[in-house]
Amino acid sequence: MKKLLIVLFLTLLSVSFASLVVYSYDSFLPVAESAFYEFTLQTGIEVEFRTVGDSGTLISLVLANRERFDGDVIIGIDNLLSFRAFREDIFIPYIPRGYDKIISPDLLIDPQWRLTPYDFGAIAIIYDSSAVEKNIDSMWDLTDRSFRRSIIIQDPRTSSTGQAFLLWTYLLHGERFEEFWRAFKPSILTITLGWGESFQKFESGEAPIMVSYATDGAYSTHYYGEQLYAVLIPEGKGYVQIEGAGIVRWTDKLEEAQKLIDFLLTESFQKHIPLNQWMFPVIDLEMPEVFDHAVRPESILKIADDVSIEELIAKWEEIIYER
Amino acid sequence: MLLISLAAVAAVVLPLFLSFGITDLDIIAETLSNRSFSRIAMFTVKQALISTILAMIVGLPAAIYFARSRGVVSRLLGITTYIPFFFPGISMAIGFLSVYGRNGLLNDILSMLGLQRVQILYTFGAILLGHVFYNAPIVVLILGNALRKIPLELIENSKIDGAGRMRILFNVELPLVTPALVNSALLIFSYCFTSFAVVLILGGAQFATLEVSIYMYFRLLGRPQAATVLALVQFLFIVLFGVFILLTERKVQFEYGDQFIEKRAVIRGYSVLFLMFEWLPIIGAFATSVYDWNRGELIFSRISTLFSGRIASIGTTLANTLFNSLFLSFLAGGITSSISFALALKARTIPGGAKHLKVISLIALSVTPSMLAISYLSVLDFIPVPFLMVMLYTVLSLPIALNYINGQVQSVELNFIEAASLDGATRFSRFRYIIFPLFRGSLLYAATIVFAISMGEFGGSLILGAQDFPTFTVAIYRLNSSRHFLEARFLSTVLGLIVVTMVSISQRFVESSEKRIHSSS
Repeated sequence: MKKLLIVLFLTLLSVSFASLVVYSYDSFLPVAESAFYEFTLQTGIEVEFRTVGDSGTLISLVLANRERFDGDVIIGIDNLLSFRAFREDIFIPYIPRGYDKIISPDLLIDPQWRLTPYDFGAIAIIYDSSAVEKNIDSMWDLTDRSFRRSIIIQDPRTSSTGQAFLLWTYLLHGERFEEFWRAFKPSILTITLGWGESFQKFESGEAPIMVSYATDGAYSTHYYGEQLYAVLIPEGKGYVQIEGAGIVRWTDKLEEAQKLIDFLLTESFQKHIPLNQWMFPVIDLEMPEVFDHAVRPESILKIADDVSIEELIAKWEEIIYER
Repeated sequence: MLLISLAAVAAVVLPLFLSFGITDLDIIAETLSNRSFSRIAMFTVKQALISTILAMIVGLPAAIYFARSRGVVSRLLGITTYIPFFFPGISMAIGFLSVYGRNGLLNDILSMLGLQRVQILYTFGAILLGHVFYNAPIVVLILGNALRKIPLELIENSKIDGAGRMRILFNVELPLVTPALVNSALLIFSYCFTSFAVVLILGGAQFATLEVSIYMYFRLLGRPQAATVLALVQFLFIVLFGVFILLTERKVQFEYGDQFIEKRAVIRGYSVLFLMFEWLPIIGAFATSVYDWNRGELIFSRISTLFSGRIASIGTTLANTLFNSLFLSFLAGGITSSISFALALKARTIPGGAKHLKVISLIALSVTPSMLAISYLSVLDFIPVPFLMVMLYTVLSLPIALNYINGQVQSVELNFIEAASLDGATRFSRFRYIIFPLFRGSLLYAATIVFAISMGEFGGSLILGAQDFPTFTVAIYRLNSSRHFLEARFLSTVLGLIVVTMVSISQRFVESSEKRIHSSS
């Protein structure tokens, strides 16, 4: 009987002190390291943080395990990948405390609140102003013959920036999407695996223009002490990548998970976003000075629920492979 | 052989299908009926075939020189054989830019000569260039080492019989090393078929391969089942090529003898050019990793922070990641070369065993490391992470280790072992005093290749060891993704230097081991 009581006590102890298991993509690590320490101090809840490469891989891991998946919260599903996550019914709805502090309704990923947004950033065109003489006022200007083989973009099949750019062009041009890509194709020098490869080529002088982030000016000022390249969102209409966090359907620590989602919308967490993620926080916050060099879109283009990214990629592939 | 097939299935196929098993047949139809599928599949086959032929042609003279000489050039060729396994994509991209880019060395020379700069990169030719760069050293590695083993007497007898140099090469030497020729072609085809970084970095997405689609489904769209279908298609293509090429293989065995040495200026000159072709991008990558050309400054002040203890963007100290990499890679090297050796020896005793082994070993090449790692995490989560990582490295490096060792083991006549057995030598003493000393050099060589592959692997390491066992490549990846490009480039060079140093040390051992065998025989 005594032994039984000890086992029972130890079991209860292990349940009450079990950590909240939080999964994210790998580059979220610096934010997690600094922010979750504060969360534990505030709530007494320990966080066990795990990373699995990138967000798509993370979804693949959840689908491979489903109810056996040991995570309670997933951080880092963007508005594009959210369609896939919702279709697979991975998250449960939860309206967090402080939801009314979110600066714009355009930043809400899901009306059912299966994902809570915690940061956002726009895609932009960056260029070497000493090498580009012609004004770029709209995306169509980039189809001009003078820009032939001058632009580096990312592959939408391998890069989230590439996917975001594809969607941006779709949202800007709608039915003329395919016409735009046929006209734009001769301006492309190469299509890279990811953003890093593009930047490497851009920096080496392979091409004067590339698709990048609207916060590049801020990053460059912070890291190199000067803004090296001009940043542009044609017509001010930006496609915004919004990242969200959700509570996993199979969690047995619902209350703790809800507290973590609440925490994501507090200043204690949001202050870590700008200089780690190079994105914008979703609540009003005093920003680091270097963010004066970041470009905010004047208006945000939203994706409709019925847009199939796979269909868009298929159309894009056909145009790219046309001779 | 049944046991080997079962082991391969247990290590690769089983976790994959238990994790992402294709339960819905519609997924197969949907994936394969994608409008771009046939075009991408055709391009994948075409570029792999052309690349294989070119890599074999470019690598053959260098392999012959490597086999027939012992000087500095030959030693450098030996180190060059490791390039495909330690030169990571991030360094390759910057290395190729510095040589073939718009502002690269070649274009600067053209410009100095008053000629127009040319666009070398982002073309089909650039992909072939990249594949030859990465795969011609495999010809030197496998074929060169097999040619080295042809005994001096065989070639001298041919000379006495009046055969010329070319006739000896085509009628005596190459037929004797057919298994190595087949092994090289099979491996190169498989590597080119599943090529990903080279195609996208040097060519661009308009030249995408099936591997790009697998990456898309698995890592971007979160559709692992569709990725599994394509991985299966990849494997079928590779097996088809494997079966076709293995039909041409003839097994000719010869006794171990002295290395045939000859001096030929033309082939030496070619080998020097080959070395330049291989090393210029590496030197370019090295120069760019210590000097920031855009800002005209050395980057040492930036990288000093890497050595000041715990780094937030890496999540641990650099020393810890280096220790993890070295520990796991050494372990993988020992285990994989031992398994390969045991399998190759066993295959000698079974009719068709060696061929069977080659095809089975290619399963691992059809699966991307990240898919394999996720399947291990979900099916084998009871195994501690370091063991899973070593298992992953073993599976990924088994094709090359097995093919290399198989090439060595199958070519040598081992009748004297039976004689030793008749003389009463036990199985242990036969292994201890005959077999192991005979193949010690080959084993060490294979272990070093596995070590290099494991040191350079990051896709699977990032998933399996991100928390508890971050490796050196994970540190590079994390610096790169937190936009610390200069630091990441520098560490890539450090990684290369570590591997080259280890390779050089191991080569010394191989040479001294071979000398011992020669003197004792």
